[in-house]
Amino acid sequence: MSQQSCAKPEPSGMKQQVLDSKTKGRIDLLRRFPALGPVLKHRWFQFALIFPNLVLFALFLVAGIYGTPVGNRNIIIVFVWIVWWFLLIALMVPFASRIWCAMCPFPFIGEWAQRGALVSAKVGKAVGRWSGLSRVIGKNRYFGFNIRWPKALSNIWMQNIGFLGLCTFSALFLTRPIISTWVLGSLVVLATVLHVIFRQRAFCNYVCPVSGFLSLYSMTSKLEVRSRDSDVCLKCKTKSCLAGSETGWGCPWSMYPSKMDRNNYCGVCTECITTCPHDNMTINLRPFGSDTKMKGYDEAWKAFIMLTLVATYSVLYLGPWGFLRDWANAPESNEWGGFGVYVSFMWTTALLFVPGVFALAAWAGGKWAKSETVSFKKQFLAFAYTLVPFGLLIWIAFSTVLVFTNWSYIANVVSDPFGWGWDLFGTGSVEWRPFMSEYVVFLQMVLVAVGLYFALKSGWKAALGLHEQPKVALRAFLPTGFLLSALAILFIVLYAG
Amino acid sequence: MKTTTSEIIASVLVVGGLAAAIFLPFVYEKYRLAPNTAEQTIVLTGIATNGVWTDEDVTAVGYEGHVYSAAKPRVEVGKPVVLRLRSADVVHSFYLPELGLGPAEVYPGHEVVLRFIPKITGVFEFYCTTLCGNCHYFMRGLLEVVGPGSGEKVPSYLDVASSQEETLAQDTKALPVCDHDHEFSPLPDRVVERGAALFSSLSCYTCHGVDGVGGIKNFNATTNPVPSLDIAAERLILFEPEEIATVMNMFEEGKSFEAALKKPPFEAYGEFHEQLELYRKTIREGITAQKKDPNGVAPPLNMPVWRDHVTDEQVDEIIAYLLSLYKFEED
Ligand code: SF4
Ligand code: SF4
Ligand code: SF4
Repeated sequence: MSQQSCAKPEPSGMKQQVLDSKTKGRIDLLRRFPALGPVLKHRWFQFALIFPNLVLFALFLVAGIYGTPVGNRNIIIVFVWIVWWFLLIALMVPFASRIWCAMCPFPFIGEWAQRGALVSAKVGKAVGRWSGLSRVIGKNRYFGFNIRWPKALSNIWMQNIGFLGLCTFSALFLTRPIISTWVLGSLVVLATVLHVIFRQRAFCNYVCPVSGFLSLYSMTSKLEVRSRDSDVCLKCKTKSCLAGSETGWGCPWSMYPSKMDRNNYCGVCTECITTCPHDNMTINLRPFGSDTKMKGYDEAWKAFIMLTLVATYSVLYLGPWGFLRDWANAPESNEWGGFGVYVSFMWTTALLFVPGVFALAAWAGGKWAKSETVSFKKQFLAFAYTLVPFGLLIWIAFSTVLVFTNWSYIANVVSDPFGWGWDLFGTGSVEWRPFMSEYVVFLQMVLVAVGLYFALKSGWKAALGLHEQPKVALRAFLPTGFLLSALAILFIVLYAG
Repeated sequence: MKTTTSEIIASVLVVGGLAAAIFLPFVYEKYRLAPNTAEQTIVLTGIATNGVWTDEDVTAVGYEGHVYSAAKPRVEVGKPVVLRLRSADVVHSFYLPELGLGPAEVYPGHEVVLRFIPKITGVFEFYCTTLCGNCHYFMRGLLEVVGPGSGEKVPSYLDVASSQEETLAQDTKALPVCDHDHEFSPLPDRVVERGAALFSSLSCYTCHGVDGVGGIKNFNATTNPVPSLDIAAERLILFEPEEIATVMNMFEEGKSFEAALKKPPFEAYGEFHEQLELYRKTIREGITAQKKDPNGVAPPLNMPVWRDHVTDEQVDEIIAYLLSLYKFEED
């Protein structure tokens, strides 16, 4: 763990504390593995990450149109909703933050149109000046209108509602290839249009339905992109990480990388590592769950929505209640009355009931602790964070069963992506047989328990951060702690049952 | 590398990669199918929701809401045929007994290839023999084997009467179509109407004919064609209109046929009751059609077991409906 840049004066006092919190438990990967730097800084690096995914994505869309209508035999369903989802939630997000966003094909065409370049950076002459169809922002030149995203929409509410809306119809696109094609294809079109109209990655920041939960759960991730030394940034005149340069683009996510202290809105594109002329941006390994601050209600609600969704899906797809699956799949079962009940229940639970219960717990804790210095909002947001590690681990527990149960479909579609009867790798006829079906429940229990551990730990830490005396902190956190424990027990009962 | 050169290379890669993703699968499919393609190649896809073996292209796009038509392929006698079987949804079982093809289980995503050389001409019915959904009983199609060259039929040496061949030729125009639209809600008041609704919704008519007239071919079955049901009254030993009226009233009023044994409402009530029990049992337990030629193939149509799908009351409603079909000869 080497964070000191060469020949810098020793920091002291307050600044030392800030530096400690920035560097505690961190491993600077670019210093530990010097060979990594040139790779990440190479202008072809991002392209090399995206290109295979782009081609695969196109193949999935073609399969979604011309392949078999049978969901579990079509690669678009099996790879997108089982493999990709599992890799995302169980591996990428916890271990590599939003690395998916660095290789995501959705914004590829839009960004290409916006930049007019795939592997090089374009610079312009003056800041904010129009020249024909292009505009110069910072040092870089962009095509399109480059309008600023409206301030009123600069939050993740749209993503929250969009994701909940999409998930409401999950039974449709999880089973029907053509609907998956429509959904994913529409996202690409929307991303492209928004890239032409708005600045940089407005789509990713504010619209992409996947982005919301990536931003939320990447807070827990073991990986972060951060500046090394704030002193260097203070003295830096170019601010290339933000403004761009001849060697790279200013942060596409409109972050100020030098000041970034959370993973939420960093797409790990490594652009800032390339552009920083002082080698002051790096990638760190860090302890799990290092970002702990929720910055607004929109983020807290994302956590409530994600918890509700994983509970709903666990009940629907892992529970024994077939009639509920029929309700969720009304277009096939024609149970529109049931569908109405299902939708109303899910939306009310996600947007009102779960937040209400958590608010009540936070409020009760505040009352019990008799704390007047800590506002309700502060306490509510601090404790809402507990749902980040908790929700993530529950999602991993849920997704693990999906993969263990459906691994044979993965083997099938690898050999036969279109369901046309191919057998490219000899796995086209692997019979459906769940993997470790008797034991997977124990793994789920462990995952739920780990989730609870991190939730309680982060909640307790947050309480101590809010209230000076441990006794007061304990009172403030106890109701939320009980609530989390009760939830964990409910999930264990559901999975074990 | 100069910026422009890099951009050109990257652009070419993107366009090439996307083109490969879009077109390569089709090129590979063509190459893969080459050995499974003969001059006479039939691709049949089983679709449970429509109850058909269709020869239309079945892909994810256009699948939803599309009503696929039943295939009526035609091949020439004496020439090799490659029959490629697919499923668009669930497991089907393809059976063409007269040409000795199948039963072959067809799983979604697995293509089953059958090769044969038709040696006889005629119209041969094929089926799905695995209960694959509500429209299962409609899953039939007709393969026509015609004489060489002209496409005209030559006399068949099949051991079926020429009149039956005519029936089949008519069937070619009128394969039953599964129609999910007729939902019976609310259920009709009268027992007979409820029975008619069940006869329709359980697809009984696909084997027993519309209005139970029978006549549907069941290859190599002792009862070929499938027995008609419009003479159920005779089978139940009810020869007088008054007797039928009495029984119908009992059905309508929900009276116990067993209790009436103590005080029979007409003379041959005992015999009627015995037959009624037999009918009830047949509907509940089903019947496997017996082979006419013990060394021949199994008949494709069997009376299904309905006990898990209908209640005892519904069994009686169906019988009441069958009784109502009886037409007394005019004096
Ligand atoms: S935010 Fe959404 S569209 Fe943007 S890179 Fe991430 S997953 Fe892709
Ligand atoms: S360009 Fe580098 S040194 Fe300058 S502000 Fe950004 S990270 Fe700091
Ligand atoms: S902070 Fe750096 S790595 Fe993160 S999105 Fe911005 S430029 Fe990319």
